[in-house]
Amino acid sequence: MSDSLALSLSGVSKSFDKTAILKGINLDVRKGEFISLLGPSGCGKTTTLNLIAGFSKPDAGDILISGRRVNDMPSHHRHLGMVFQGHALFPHMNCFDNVAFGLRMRKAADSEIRSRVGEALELVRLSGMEKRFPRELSGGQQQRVGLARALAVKPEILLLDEPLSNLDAKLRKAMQSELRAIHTKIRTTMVYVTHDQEEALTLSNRIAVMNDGRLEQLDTPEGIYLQPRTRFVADFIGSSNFLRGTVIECRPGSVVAKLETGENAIVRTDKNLPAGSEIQLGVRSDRILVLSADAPISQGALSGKVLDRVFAGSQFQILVEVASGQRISVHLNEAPSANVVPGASVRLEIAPSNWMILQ
Amino acid sequence: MKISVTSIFAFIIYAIIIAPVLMVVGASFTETRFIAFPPQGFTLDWYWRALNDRALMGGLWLSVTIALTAVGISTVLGTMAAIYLARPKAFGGAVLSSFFLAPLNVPAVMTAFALLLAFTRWGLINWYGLVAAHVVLTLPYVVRSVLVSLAGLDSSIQRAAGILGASPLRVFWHVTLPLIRPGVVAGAIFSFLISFNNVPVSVFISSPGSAPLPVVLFNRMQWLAEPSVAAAATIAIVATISTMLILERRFSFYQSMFR
Ligand SMILES: Nc1ncnc2c1ncn2[C@@H]1O[C@H](COP(=O)(O)OP(=O)(O)O)[C@@H](O)[C@H]1O
Ligand SMILES: [Mg+2]
Repeated sequence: MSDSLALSLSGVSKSFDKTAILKGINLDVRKGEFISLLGPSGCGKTTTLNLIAGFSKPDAGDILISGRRVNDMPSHHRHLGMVFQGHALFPHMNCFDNVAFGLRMRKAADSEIRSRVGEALELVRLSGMEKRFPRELSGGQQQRVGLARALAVKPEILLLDEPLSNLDAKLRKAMQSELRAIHTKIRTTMVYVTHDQEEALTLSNRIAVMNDGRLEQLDTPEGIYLQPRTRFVADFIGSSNFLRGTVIECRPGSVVAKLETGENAIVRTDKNLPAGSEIQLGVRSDRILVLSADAPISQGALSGKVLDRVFAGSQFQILVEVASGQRISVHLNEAPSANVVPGASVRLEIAPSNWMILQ
Repeated sequence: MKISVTSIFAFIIYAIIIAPVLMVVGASFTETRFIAFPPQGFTLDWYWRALNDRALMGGLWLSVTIALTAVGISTVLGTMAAIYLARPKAFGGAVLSSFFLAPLNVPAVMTAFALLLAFTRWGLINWYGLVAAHVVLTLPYVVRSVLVSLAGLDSSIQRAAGILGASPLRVFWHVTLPLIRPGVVAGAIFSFLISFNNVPVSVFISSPGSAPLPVVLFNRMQWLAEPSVAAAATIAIVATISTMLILERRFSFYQSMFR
């Protein structure tokens, strides 16, 4: 089991000036996996990556690379690759020398250096740019040289710290798919730091959602999106609405909860929740149906009043105020009926399987 | 050509700076036995005199050897100090910073007096003492200018080198040093100028028989205002300016110092 792990963090903690920044991170990364550390800025993603890279030491906990404890191993012995937010290329060296740097530090033979640099530059589609200096390249090209430089040494793990965040939106998309293609081709284990949920969802095999120095959830993109464990995860990824409720009846495979709006909801769950327990419920904005108020009554519908209706290009966004005064946002892929306008009474239908029980 | 107020102002400032230099150069060609400006007639005799004056040439040689040695030492020490001070968690960073930069803030005569007291006790009123004193004097310039270079350096560049397998020493040699070189060179050049032209400290530390050129000139001007003094000064000025021009061509160090 443990030899299939490229990286393992257990109980890793770090403080700066007595402020706890990382509060016991546990994370296992499999060989060949593309894993994202996703979280709001300031939650400790870069700090985590710096500990893995060996730029600083954890106060507590262990870091294992390929099963070996590396807590006290200096950065230059860890055999990792890293791509930085700013490209961090060596400004006094041309592309070739930048990419060759790691190989030269390993005292590789000239012929090997030439072929490996050529391979790496070809991988990022920059063949022919060997003689260019970093300042003569565009932002996207600089970042690709950074990637080639890190990959040329065939690192055990490639660490990427928001490598695309300085690029404009269109280029970022293009680079994302390029990065995916590169990962599919070379299968290097990658740990990718980002605060962009879409980037994490599209790129990763698994996502580690971080919040305030803790790991909230580690799961596949689908798992993170469809079965968020905590309110934070549900809120940070995608658009969600939250309501509190009390269990009033426990059925096999589901519970009936009395919501704070006064209405009842049927919630599908495998958990055994005794009647009377308080639960935090959530529902994705795109998992709600909007019906007109005179539609046949079904169990588990919320009545409300439309506050706003916006066309946002790929979807319609409707804001509904429910009985408890909360505002529920609904995203629809198709135009709602014409009578769903501000002021109109509507009913919101939520299927039992679309309710999420959160911590 | 349109002449703006600023350019007239700049011209006046330049004139004020250059005038004394031109007067010295001019005075070195005079035929009179005492320094006179404007020069009376034209002769190169005083240069011949200066070149054959053992005290003047000895002073020049002493100045050059002291300056080169002191600059060498303070460039190495100052660069190391700056690299240490630039670290975010430098132990006693603030105290050490003010220690290294102190000679910039203390009047030179005070520094000189302090050194005189110490060096007399340690028997260092000689060439070694002069070098040591000039290291003290020039170190802050190197530290400052290297610190400026380091401040402009993206620390992730050094980390990138480290994670690519370079030990800290190789990171320094292959990455840090090439990137801060303009600052190091600028610091070294300023140090040279400071050392080569210093009077207050050298006056205290040197013994009568063996004094650096500025001290010899200073003494001569007090007792014997012969035009050969102006000639020696002119030689020093021309040597300094041409060195600066060559180095500026080669390293654009003024730019790197003040960018
Ligand atoms: N060297 C440091 N000294 C003090 N505080 C730091 C240091 N590095 C990071 N921090 C703090 O740790 C927190 C997390 O930082 P970071 O890991 O960079 O967040 P992220 O990359 O997720 O945006 C921030 O509040 C930041 O101010
Ligand atoms: Mg960060």
